[in-house]
Amino acid sequence: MNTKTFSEALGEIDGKYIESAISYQAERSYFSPTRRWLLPLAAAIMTLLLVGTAAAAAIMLRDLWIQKPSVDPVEVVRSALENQAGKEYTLNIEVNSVEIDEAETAQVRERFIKGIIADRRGWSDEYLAGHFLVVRADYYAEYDHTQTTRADGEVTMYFYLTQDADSGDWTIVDNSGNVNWSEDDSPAAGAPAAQTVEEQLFAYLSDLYNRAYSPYYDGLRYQIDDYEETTDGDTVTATFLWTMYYLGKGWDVGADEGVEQQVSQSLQAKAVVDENGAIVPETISVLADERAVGDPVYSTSIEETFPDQLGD
Amino acid sequence: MIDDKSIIDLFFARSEKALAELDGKYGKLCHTLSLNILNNRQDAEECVNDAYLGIWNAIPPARPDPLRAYVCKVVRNVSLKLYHRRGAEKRNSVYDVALRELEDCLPAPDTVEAEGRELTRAIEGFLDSLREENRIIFLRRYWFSDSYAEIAARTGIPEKSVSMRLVRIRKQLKRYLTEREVYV
Repeated sequence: MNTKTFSEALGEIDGKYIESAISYQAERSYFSPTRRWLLPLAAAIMTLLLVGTAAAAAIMLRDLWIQKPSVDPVEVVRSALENQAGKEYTLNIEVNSVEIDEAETAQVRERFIKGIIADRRGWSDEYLAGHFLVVRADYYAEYDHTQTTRADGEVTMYFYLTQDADSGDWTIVDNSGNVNWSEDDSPAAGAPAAQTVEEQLFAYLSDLYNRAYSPYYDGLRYQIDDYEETTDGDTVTATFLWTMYYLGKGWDVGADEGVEQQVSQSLQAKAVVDENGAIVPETISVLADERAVGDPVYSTSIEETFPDQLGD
Repeated sequence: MIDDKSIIDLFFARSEKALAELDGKYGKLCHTLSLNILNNRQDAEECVNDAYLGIWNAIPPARPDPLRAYVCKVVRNVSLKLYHRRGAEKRNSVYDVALRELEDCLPAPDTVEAEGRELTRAIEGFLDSLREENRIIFLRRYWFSDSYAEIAARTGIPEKSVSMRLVRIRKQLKRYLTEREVYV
């Protein structure tokens, strides 16, 4: 390619392009490196002051979003997104719009939340009716891919918030990536509460993997194959092949962008089942087969296989 | 500071005040642009003066609108002429670096190379396909030869992010031109 010719041709473009490039001046400014370091530090100090060291440590370690509970749910989401600028792996965050999605709220409330997830989190239908919201955010993100596998570009993210009945403050309890949970046909996403152990495990794992991977991948869906189950007293042990489908981001192979990819793991799940056949959530443990060939050896907790930034 | 129309009127009246007003209003912009290409203040000064002479000869009959973009075009063209005339010199200008960035991202000649006008139209089509911020970044880098730091300051995007964006935009450019079989 003759760059001289290209440069000369570029020089002949219409004046409107040149004029716009001259007059363009960003209205916003980005967080300076100093501020980027200060933000999480300030958030950490505030959290420590407010809720105590042990609890704060737990929150800071588990929380992908540095959030500031507020009576304004939109502001909670907006500040959580803007606080992403404080993450070391974040290069740029530009929030385009944040708004309460009433339709999505109603659908998720009806089709997803009522069921095993709500049960596990102790959310009654009455509580959900008055204290649950879905907020949709559209933003542009860029991440340092040497530090994170998060997808960048234009992102639509659904945030799931609950409200403290006493203080009125809203808090983000989950987020979806680009997955629209209310339109997901999987049992985890809205079917009536799972009945069989397999269905309950599917719902449990779907939720777990959504939480783990939705910040990184779009179009998440799952499948269980080769399911086998044994019972010993009230303890159920199940082995199966767990497959996660997701949309490629084209990081390594450009042609993969938007194309569905899949990854499979052999898993062993153990849990106590109550007299109604319902899994007791606190008793669930899931191990992954660490061997690629030969008889499976289930020894690795699946949480250990999740992306590093989950511990951020 | 007088408006562009009044400056053009001065050119039409053949008043030398036109050049003084032009320099007062756009001189800094012109010098920066030329300096980015040539990396030599004396050469940049010479090019801007040559550009002013060219504009004096062109107006009238030309009545450019917008004037600022027109002036920049002339300055850029004059500066590039000098840049290429003295091609053996190592300038280490931003323009040098920007050109090298473009080397790998543009489709290699396959059959018939695109005519200049055809290539310009293709570039405009590509610019139209970009969202505004990326279009500005691309133009500031490859039209104005701005440094990453200057682009960062203008767009409010961190320097590192500007660099990454440009990598992606160049890939998009290559894909865009290849799909349209535009070779140079």
